[in-house]
Amino acid sequence: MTGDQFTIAYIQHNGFEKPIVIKQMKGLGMKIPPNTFTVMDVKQCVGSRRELDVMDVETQRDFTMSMKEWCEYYNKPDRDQLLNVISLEFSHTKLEQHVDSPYIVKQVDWIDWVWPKHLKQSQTEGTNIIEDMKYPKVQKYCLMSVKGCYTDFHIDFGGTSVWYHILKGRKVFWLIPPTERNIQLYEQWVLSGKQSDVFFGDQVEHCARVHLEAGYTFFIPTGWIHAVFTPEDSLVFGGNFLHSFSIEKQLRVAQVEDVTKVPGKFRYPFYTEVLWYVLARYVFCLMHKNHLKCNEDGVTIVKDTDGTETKSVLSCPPQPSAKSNVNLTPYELSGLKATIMWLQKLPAHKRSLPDLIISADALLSDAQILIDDHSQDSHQMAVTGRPVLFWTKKPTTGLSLTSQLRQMKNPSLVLKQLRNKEASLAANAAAPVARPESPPTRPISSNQYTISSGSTLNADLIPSSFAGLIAQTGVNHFQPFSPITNSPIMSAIGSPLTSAPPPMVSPYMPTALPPPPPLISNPTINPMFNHSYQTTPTNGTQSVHTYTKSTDQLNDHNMNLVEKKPPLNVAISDHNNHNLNKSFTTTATQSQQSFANYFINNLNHKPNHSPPIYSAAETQTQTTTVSPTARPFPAAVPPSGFHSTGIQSEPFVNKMVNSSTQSSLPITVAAGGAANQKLFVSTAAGTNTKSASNDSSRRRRTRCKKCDSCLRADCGECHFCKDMKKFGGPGRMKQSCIARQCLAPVLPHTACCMICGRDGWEKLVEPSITDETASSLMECSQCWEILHPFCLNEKFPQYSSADANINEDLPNSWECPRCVKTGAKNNNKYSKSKANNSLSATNAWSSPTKKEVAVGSDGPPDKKVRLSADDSPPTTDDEGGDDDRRPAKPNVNNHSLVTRIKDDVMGDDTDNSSSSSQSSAQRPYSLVASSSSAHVRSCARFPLLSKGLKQMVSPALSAGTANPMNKNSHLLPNNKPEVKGLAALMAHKKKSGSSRDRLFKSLKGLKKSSEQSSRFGGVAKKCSSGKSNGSSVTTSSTTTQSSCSSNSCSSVSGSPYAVSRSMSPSVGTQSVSSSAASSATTTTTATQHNFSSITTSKLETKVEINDESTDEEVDPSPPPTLPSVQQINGSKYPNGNRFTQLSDLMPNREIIKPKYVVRPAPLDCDILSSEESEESSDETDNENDDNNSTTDTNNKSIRKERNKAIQKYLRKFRTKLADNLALERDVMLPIMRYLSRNDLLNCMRVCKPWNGFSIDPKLWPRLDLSHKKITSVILKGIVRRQPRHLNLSWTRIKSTQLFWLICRLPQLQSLSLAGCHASAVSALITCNCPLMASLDVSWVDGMDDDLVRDLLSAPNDCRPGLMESKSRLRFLNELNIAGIYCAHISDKSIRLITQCLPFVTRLDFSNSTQITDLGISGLATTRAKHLLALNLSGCRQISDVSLQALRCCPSILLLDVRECPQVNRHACSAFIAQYPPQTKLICN
Amino acid sequence: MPNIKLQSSDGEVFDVDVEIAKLSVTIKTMLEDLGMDEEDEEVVPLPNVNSTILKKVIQWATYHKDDPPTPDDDENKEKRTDDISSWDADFLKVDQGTLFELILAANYLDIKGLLDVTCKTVANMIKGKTPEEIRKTFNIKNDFNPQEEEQVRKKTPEEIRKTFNIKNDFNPQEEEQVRKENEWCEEK
Repeated sequence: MTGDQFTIAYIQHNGFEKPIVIKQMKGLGMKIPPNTFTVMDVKQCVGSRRELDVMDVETQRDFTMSMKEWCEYYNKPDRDQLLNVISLEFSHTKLEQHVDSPYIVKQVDWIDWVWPKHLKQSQTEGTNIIEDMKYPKVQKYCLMSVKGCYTDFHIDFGGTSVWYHILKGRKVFWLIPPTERNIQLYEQWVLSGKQSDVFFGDQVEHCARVHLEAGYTFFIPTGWIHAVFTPEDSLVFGGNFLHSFSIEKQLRVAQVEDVTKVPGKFRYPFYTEVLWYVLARYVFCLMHKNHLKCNEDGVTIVKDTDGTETKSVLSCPPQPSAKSNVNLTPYELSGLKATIMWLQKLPAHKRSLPDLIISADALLSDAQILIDDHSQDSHQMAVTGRPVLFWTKKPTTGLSLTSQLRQMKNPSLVLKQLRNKEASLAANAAAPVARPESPPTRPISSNQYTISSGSTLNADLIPSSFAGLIAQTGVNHFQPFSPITNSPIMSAIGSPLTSAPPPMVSPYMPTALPPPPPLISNPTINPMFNHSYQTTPTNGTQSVHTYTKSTDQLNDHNMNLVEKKPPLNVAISDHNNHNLNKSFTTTATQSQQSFANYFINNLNHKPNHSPPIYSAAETQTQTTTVSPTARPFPAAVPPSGFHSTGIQSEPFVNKMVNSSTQSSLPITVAAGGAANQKLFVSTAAGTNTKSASNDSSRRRRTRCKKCDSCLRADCGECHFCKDMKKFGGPGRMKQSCIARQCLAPVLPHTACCMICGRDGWEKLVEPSITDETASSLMECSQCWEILHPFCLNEKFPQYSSADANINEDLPNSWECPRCVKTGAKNNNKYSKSKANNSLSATNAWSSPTKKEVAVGSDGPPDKKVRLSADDSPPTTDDEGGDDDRRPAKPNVNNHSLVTRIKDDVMGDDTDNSSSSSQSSAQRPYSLVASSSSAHVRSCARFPLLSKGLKQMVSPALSAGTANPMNKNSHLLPNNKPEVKGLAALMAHKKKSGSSRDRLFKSLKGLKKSSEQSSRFGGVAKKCSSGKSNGSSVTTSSTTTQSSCSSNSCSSVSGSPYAVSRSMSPSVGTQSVSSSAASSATTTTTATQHNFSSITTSKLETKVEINDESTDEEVDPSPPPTLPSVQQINGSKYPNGNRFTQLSDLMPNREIIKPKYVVRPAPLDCDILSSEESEESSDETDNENDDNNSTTDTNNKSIRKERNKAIQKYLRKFRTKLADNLALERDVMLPIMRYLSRNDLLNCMRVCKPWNGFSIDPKLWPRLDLSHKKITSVILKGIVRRQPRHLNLSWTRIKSTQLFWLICRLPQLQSLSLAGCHASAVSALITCNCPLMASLDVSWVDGMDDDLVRDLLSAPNDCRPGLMESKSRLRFLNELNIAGIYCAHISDKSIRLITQCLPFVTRLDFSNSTQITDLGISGLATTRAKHLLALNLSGCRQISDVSLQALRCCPSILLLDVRECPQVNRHACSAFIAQYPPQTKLICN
Repeated sequence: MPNIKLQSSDGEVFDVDVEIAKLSVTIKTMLEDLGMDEEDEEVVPLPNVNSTILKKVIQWATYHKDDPPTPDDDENKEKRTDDISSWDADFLKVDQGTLFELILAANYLDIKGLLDVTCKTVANMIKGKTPEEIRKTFNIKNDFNPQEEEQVRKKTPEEIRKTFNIKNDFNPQEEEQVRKENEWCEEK
């Protein structure tokens, strides 16, 4: 039997009762590490301290040893014992990436299909400690046996079936079929206690022996009694799974385990729970009744008021025939029956009903009904090749991304594709028999779906489109699920569906098919549909073929799943192969283009509708049209926008459409195609996205785990952190903390050379290229090919790697010689024309722009410098230059024109922002930005320009007419190098200047840019009144304007600001992404799109503009792919310029609220970076020597790893030291901790370095300024010292002062404002001190309930990206509002406090005469468990009743009831008697 | 007892008992995190620590290897600088440069005890020329009268500069400004 024969259809037909050996793993869809994988590698992956259950073969007993010990044992030449590791479960360890179960297993495994996904996803623990286990963690085992190992006869726990792949060595199996008799014999044998004396094989009639060789894959079905012998050292990967086709056997085995008293440790974890879930799942999938308390994403369902059983609308498509369409195999049917009986029989205490199940009885009865319904099912009909279970909203693999890629790589065939597409659409409409059921792959994160539904959304905007659509279509099934989505936007997204012409809709209703996808899933799947659909036709050469194939598939109900959708890993390998084959034949443009699409799709894997449409548009318009144009669709326009449903953003759409028309592509195709896509239903159901993401994970660079960002902890504050489950968010975004975005992402370990196919450690690294990753692979920033430089040299001697531009900022990144060469010719022209323009450089910061352009053209890195000198930027100056230049060069090609504009805008930014924006500006796509607001914006800024631009840009850009020499296709490659050049250049620059210098400069730049931007603000204003460029212009100009008024650090980041004002949720991301500029935030962009899709239509215009301003930067890069992003990223960060990072990562603060102080972080890394290179090269040298002695390459890489790790730990040693150590911070700071304040003050006056040291926040944890008059000097001094505890009591600090101060002390933990005025206290409402735990506002003049309410209400300012509905003071645990002036504090305040301060433990209400027993009782009951101290002295209305109420607070330590005349001594003693001695009660 | 090899900046390799080396939190975490084995003949390079200093550090660590762990000090409390053990005091009777280098090494290697003690020693030197440690060791009476002391205090920046051979790179206005700016947090 071969791998691809063993399918679910096979199982459905034959059951799974006989062991199966498959000699070739091909077709199984399995992922297995190469056979060079050793036990050492296992150790590397699971960690040397992982405890293993090791079996002593002699005694068949087990004990634990660490992985490290095991390795030692394994590698010992003579082993004194025979030990065997057969139960190393490695899910959630690094090893997991290397191993993937066979596709068939994934299709039937209950854990994948039955166990609630969110539970499984919540598993993080790699070990198999039952307490930490969130699901039966048995899916991936690694078995390491030495020669001679023997495992006596056993049945796998819980009656699991097993897959088993022999990576190395051999195994011999004895197999005994699980007949009833054999099982009984087995029981007896186990119970006899004589296992070691009796060979069980002799006891039974039939005992088969199977020899397995390396490379074999073996499947053992449920219940087979087997023994295993290892004739030679072996390494085996396998996994256990439960499935629906032999439930009875499984139950029988569980019974056997009961009888033989198998300890819990060796049983299937959560066995009974799984059974419950199985029933729940079947009932859900077949009867559409949800018995779980939550939906598939783990979101708790709010119960209907009228029934205990929540009838889930979630998956209730109006599909009366659904039930009859699903046929269960006899195996499943009887199994389910058995399950029901089994569960019913269980005594209550053994039922282990999962918490999620609402009602066991209801479930059981439903399950019974289900069985009855299906009792007549025909076996024949049941063999569908698809599992019965499904996840409602799951994208699954359809056409592999590979094919998509391949397709896109053939731009020459695009037209053909388009035609094909239309044809296929027609075909499809004619044969609308499609199966939207999601085929099984492993559940993937559900976040894709919920984005829109969860986000708070302005409901006003929906109704127009939504209601309209409903009315229009009159489709009643739209309503059922809207309640569940909880959010109208969901429906809005879905609306295109319903708005589709009837014939098109019909595909969604499979006529005679097993469980159709619940309709609700359509909206989300829909984009995927588009996507996959779009892929199909874009297939270039293969398009016809593929297309037909897919249609066939659609129509063929019984089509084998495996065939239909190749397993993921196959897809991946395909992809790789593809890469390998591709070599250099495709032009850079093409590959980039394709990758662009590819990555964008990946990046946007939150399925806002954007990815598909976007890529669709892009592909359609091909090289000429550009992402910026396409982008707005996905970004802001609901899909229905294509149909011009009158959404307000329509003008914009039209505009884009126009531009695409101009770009000489049949607009009808573009628009129509896009629209049609929505209607198109394919089986693929977004599978591409899944495979795409998987694919991309291979290519996507990974965290370096070394840079500061990587080492940082989640900030818990940023937008993404807030979304994380661990911070209480919904966990939908799955983005890393903004502060943790890696600065120098490395190639994944799995990356390998396209030529030799080996990974990055096969050959030694050239010292010059050396970087932390020590991988010798280089990834081209243009064509994204990954290769060894020497392989390239060998294979293509014409390209010498000397020509390459190595990106020193991003590990393993270069511009490969080939790209350099191909790019050179075109660019030369370009640069020449440019050179003519060049004016003298007046601004240092704009020179990079120029240089980069030139560099791109010339390639060799050494020219960079020269060029930077020769080529003075034409665009340099801020003001006058614009006007001069514009008329000066009307005939410059459009590209340069745009570039220039860009330059103008960006010229004066900080080097960082300019680098990013410039890089984007240089990219061809920015040309096309013309049609979008980017262009508009530029126009706005340069009123004179706008006219010319308007006329020329769109035609010029799309057709490349302005410079006839530059065909569009050439534009792409031309510009790419620039990006690269820029990166290199920046690196160069960075290197040359000292880090401090740089900081200084960038600060300067900042200032300048803000000045400049305000200048531009004026211009923009003018323009908006004068040149009305349609509504969007106005908007954009206003945006610009407002941005300018803000202190934005870059003019680009400015625009989001305007929007952020009006609409914070979406804005946060936007501003982040925009200021993180062209790079960092591709991911953010994705989010951004989500958000923008939610924004009100009115805002949409704006948002779009912003989108574009960002997009223009993010996307314009011909490859807006991740790598490019990273590269740019790299160019910005790599030297660890923290300032850059700050300005980029915290733009919201800076831009929006200049009052948030950005304190430049220490520049350690900067200092390090210069040394880094030499040291690392040293390292390599050393290692070279080492390596010579050891031949084992594996060893080498381990060593390298190890050395790297050591370096990491000793990192701090690298700092360059001052000659006089007394000027060294590391020396002085510890000393200063022993100095008193006055000594510190003296030190401050010693010298400048000391002045800096002695101001360190560590030395000033507390500042007491009580009774001082607060002056601005003092305020500055406080901010410089960043104290954690600040006492401002009796200072009478003014409101404005406190307002200024408080937002500059984000680290503040406690604050005393005793005796200050109420107006000052009210400034606290905007405080942004998440750590603030203690607040003293006692004796505050004018304190009253209103002030308390103000203080505890949501902040009245807004921070970008944050929707704050709660007080920022909510983390307080100590609050003092005592005081004589507090006469107005009443029970109302107490109530507020209990509501708003969930963590408060210590309260002081003394002298609050209006507080009554009622308030205290309320407090006591709500805060019962937490209250530690309460001061009620002087609260005259308090009586014994309060004491009585407070008795329910067990942990109270201090209660002060002095001066409470109504409290009598007796009550006090009664109260205190209840408490342990440490509790203090202070009374009169 | 397993040993670990530490290499100083000038290339000398020291074979140190792992237990002793583990007084350095840096090395300890490294060893633990990397699961370094004895058979790994890895040499841990310690740039910036020359052999003299490393020798000193090892000497100190050897002596203090059985010290009970010190409690984390309360940062809010004024720190004592007069509790240096006599062995340490003796041990630290070295020239200023060595002392600083020791601090640096202790800081990098994260040896709290050594850092404490060295810092205290230097802190005492800074503290108005009345180091408790010197008083104790040499039994010198504090013969400053309050006025003198006040004078010394006023002069301190200059004195400190002299002590550490630091150039005053402030111009007079700047210096005055610095003084004014920070007047407010003076202790009374």
